[in-house]
Amino acid sequence: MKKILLITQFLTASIASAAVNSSTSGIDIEDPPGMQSVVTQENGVTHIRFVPKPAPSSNSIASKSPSPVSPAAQSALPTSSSSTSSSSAIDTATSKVNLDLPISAVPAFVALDLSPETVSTPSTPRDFAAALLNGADHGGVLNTGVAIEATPFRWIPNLRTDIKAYSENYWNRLLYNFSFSLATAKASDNDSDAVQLGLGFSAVLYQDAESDPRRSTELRNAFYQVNERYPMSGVPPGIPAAEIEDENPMAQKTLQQAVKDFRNKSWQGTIWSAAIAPTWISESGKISDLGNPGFTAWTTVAYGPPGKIFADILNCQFAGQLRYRQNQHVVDSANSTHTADQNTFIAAGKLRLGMTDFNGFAEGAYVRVWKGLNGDASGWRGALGVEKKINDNMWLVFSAGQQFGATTSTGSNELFAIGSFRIGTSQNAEYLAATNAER
Amino acid sequence: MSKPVVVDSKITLPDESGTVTVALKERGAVHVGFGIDLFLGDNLIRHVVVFPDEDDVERYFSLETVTALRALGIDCFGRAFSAATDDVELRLSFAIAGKEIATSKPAAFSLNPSNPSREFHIRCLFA
Repeated sequence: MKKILLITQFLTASIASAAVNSSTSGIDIEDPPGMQSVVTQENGVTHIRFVPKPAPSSNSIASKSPSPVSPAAQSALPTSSSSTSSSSAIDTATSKVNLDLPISAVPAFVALDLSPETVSTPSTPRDFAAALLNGADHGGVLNTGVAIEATPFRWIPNLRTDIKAYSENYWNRLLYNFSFSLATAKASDNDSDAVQLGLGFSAVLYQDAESDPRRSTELRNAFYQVNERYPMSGVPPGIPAAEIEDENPMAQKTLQQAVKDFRNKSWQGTIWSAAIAPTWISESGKISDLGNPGFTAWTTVAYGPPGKIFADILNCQFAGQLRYRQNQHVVDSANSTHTADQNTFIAAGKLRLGMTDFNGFAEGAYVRVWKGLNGDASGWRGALGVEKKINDNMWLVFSAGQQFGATTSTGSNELFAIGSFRIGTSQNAEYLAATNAER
Repeated sequence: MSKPVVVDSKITLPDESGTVTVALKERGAVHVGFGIDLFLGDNLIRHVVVFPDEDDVERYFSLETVTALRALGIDCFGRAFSAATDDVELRLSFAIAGKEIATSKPAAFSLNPSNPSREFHIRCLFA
């Protein structure tokens, strides 16, 4: 069965987490007719979207997956009100598979479907140990709401991490950019003590030098030019530190502009990353009772040719992603005894063309579900869209597409819900799965 | 307007002869432009090095003999830059005949795309 979807989205990128609450209650945006605004936060990015209002009847899944760290923001998610038909359970289950995973996504948070407002980012082994100790009490009971992200290989004393070693050695770069993440969350919405634990590991397997902010010759040259234009001089040790001149504001401003120019070219270059996040559930909340393991793994590659195309006007970027999620526990909200531990595979691709403040995109995805609430299933979706930059942090996005799906066990074609998805390295134009369908 | 990162250290030289060398050691993959000046009190004695190639972090530069250095002080000054998010730690390493004899206190700070650069002074008085 084919469906046409029209989704209008306001996306905000790089808004501080504190803005979420004000977004939830404070941003004065009138909902268009037949639409409702949805505020979500993911990986530090706040998204405000307009999606179709749900139909009156509802028969959908409340996943047993994790209580979000940000209840205020997450309560607006259309997780249990988007479906209308008898096949909506699996449809919604698939909709909960977020297709929108940027390369910078933190694996442990993604695995638990978390959008933590506060993330601990220890920069020393001591801070890291302290953060870990906060993850459990003296009785070995896991605390919920723990979110840690760290780059542990930067702490190893004998591992050179200076710019020369980084630039010359692949393995040095791999370890320098390797990140570890840990998160805990309640495993259900009720009063049970069940807790989920996720560990995440991610690495940049390849990145070309010019798109790497630490190896870009453009940035390096900008730095040298600043040092020539705004030279410094030594200050005798006897002079009090308070009497040393302030930093040169022009040097700072010039370098900030160089960074801004560089980030405007984030379309260009090649990057390939991979991540894996094993997860466990403890029904009692104790570490010793952790079990029922599962994991999420994905790899993403993005490529943008150097320069611009079409009369030197448009940027271009292609991104592709493969993702597998094993043993995701889902519960049919219409029948709490109807549960499944499903496995999901996603293959997605996206082509983006655009300028600094206006983009167009084409995207396609294949989703395969095993052992879901309605058995095994697979489906496809494709969409075209445009987005316009409203201000530094906000994009207006319009997309339209089709989806195709079939379940082998029920005969239903209604397999998965609608979603834009974001994959790639752009810091500006970002997409989020719509997680809601007009059926 | 922000103040540079300033770190002052006292370096006790060993009772041995030889020429002391100094290198800027770096943790964090950031660009660093630096110079090193040698002072007697408030008077500049000489520029030890003036903004060499950034690859010259970790490279040792010759100062003075242990005896001559006892009355002097140095300032390693410069600018660090990164377009990514990095925790930076810079310190001076002093060596005689290739063997490290002392290090300064570290200058530690963070860089990110919004605040991509910091100026620093790592100053040492010898005794």
